[in-house]
Amino acid sequence: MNFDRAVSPKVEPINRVDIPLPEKFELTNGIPVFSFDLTELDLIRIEIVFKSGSAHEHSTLGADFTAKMLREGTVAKSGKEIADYIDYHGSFIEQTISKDITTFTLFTLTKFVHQTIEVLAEIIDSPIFPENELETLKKNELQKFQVNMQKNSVACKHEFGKLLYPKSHPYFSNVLANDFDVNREQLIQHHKQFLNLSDATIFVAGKVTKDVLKTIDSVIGKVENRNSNKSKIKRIDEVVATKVLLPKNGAVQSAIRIGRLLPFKKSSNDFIPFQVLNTLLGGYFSSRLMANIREDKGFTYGIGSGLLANLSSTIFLIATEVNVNSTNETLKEISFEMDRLKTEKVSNSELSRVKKFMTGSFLRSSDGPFNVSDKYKSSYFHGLDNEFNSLYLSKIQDVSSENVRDLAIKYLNDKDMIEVVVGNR
Amino acid sequence: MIRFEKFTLDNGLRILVHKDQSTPIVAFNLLYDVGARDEMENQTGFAHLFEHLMFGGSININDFDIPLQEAGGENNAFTSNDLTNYYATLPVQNLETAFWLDSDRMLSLAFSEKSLSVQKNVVIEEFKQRYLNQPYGDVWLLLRPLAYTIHPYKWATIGKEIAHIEGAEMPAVRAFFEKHYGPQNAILCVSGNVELDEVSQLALKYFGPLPAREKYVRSIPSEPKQDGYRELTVKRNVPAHAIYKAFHMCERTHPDYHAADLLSDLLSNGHSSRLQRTLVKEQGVFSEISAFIMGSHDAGLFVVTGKIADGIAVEIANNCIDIELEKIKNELVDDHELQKVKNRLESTQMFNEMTALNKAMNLCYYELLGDAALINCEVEKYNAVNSEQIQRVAKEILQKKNCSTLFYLSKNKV
Repeated sequence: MNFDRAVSPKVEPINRVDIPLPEKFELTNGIPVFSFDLTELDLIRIEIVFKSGSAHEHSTLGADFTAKMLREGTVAKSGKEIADYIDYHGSFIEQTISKDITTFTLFTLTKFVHQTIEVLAEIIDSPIFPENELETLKKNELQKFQVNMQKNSVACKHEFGKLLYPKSHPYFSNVLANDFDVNREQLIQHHKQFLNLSDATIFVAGKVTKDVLKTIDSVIGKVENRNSNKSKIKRIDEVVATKVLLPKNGAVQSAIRIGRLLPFKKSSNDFIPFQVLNTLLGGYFSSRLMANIREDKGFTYGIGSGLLANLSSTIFLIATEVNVNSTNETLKEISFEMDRLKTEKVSNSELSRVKKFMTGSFLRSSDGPFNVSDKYKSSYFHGLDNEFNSLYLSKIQDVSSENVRDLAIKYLNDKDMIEVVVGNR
Repeated sequence: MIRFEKFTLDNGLRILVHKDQSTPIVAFNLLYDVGARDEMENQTGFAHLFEHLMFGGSININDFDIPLQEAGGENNAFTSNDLTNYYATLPVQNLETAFWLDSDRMLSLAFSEKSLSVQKNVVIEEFKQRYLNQPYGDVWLLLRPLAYTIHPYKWATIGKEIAHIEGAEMPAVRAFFEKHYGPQNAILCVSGNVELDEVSQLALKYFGPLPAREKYVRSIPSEPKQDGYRELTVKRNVPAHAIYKAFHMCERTHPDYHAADLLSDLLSNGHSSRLQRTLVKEQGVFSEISAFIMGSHDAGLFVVTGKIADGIAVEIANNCIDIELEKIKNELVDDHELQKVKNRLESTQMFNEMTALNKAMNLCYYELLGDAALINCEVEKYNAVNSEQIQRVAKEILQKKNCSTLFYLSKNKV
């Protein structure tokens, strides 16, 4: 069997990715449920999602502490009993708090679905915020914060977050040690106002049988409807350009973060083309930044760029940790790569490669019940309809090298960027 | 139950095929039986550096990543003290691309000087990023040589020191490739919506012609039994004092392994675990604490570690750990508690069966241990552990004379 190893085998393009849509239900009290029944394995992930996050809190860290304290004690069970109950049933409960959204996630085997949904609903519906547990949590979270802030990359991210938004905007963030001394009353208020079970949206993925849905309704479908007002967060996209160096004596690497707000939403016609630009610049292993700063110069273990869409802002950023002696040169090379995208049109072959990678990535991120649910959820909260996902691949294909260059010219300019270096230059 | 087929090529390459019709993605996982424990003491960090070089171009293909991206795929790799694992995920219709790429680099690397020089720098940056520029980053560089005096587990996969990486030269790189990267030393698993026939044909076409190289016979000195308590104290620029206690335990294939694993779970897996409840929540002595086993092939370590809460003296914190360890040695664990950790474990195993890639990695891993079919025996083995066995294993492992303690103290505190 003789063949030429230098010749690649034929590659089939991915022409379409069919993403299953959820089945939609409403609980007895009107709470919407999106169900993704997509596996034969006897397991379930249930997400109880609230459209409120750190942007809504009245005091710093309110959203975070409120969410973390729920499992520390309810009207019916102590924190210890809750922990034991959850662990005994082989289940896992997590909470994630972003600027816009708070999510309580339960992973469980279907055989324990009834017991575990009950305890999940209980901790969201009737927490008591016990004082001892709160004091312990405050101390421990403060220590974790202090350890994390010693990491250059975390300190860099923290500083960047301070500069990105004006102080008056709810997205502004500047957590300090004092902020960990949260007030118990404020947590109770935050919970009352923002974490009403009746305001939740539920996403369930896995082996979602009729029995599972019935259980969810019997446990959560009876909860009283409480009307709470949600403040709308104003969209923010004002550009602030500034350069900051936080010197760190003896640092062997510098953490670098460069970025800005972008004036378009996920639903905008610029979003997907900018994603293509972002991938080309720093969104995959053969990107311009990786090929230059890691694979050619060896300055770093990793460098990348990203596009993040909050509900009221869109962020572009580049992040890396580099040999401290190469800090200045790295900054120069990052500028160089951004400039190159403005002055040279990307070749058809490279653009095509980026699109193929993005297509493969889309395929991977649509694989399995949890991924499908995540994708749907993301569009849902951004107010996008199913077309965003079903047309995604064709929209990527439509992006031209002119589009890429024009977006670079418009948005990838040093003069519009925040640059933070933690280390040395 | 994970079903699979197995066959072996004439050159010794073992191939496992797992059919999974639920996904359009195929996972291609290639495991090489080489890790940091196979290095020479004066040339550490080599297995991991070599992993980086595997992406620098092979004899017929000058870039590994680009053709895979063209096929809509993604890939990565990792190295441990015991093994080096390469994996790619791609649309199942392009499986042949993964066969083409990985067979070429098993055939021969390009061995370019530029790649060696750049990857040395990249790995040095990785060393700094993970181990030197992070609070508590150098713990394992200190704890390993404390616990191990003879066995190669005494150095971390990244290497003992940056100078070893700097000193790597091309002849040693070629020799390493010859010694460890032959088909007789590798296990491949393909997991996805594939048929056995199709995979065998691809395997024969691409890997079949590769000659077997000399089988590497591992001969590693075992670590002598630790004869007395060891301790090391260091001071660093960190915000909190930390304690790391390492105890010697059995090897991965030993009948007591599962009991030791459950013992660590009883201590700190989950919010209801002993150390979490007593030391973190109730006594407020630690802000975080964990007990885990290394899971290494050769006799490994059982580790208990925590960050001490502000205002608590180190000796007191250390004492509190000892008290909890004595408890679990002296009192039989009750049925409820034991069943709890077994339930958690069973749950975790099931969630791990969700992706083709996880299954492929695990199949290769168990084949490396001796038989891929072991993957389906794990839950049974854990369920068979009883309280008496837990107690016996606890008494054997958690002895002071078997312990190496690292006190990692904050320069900034009293």
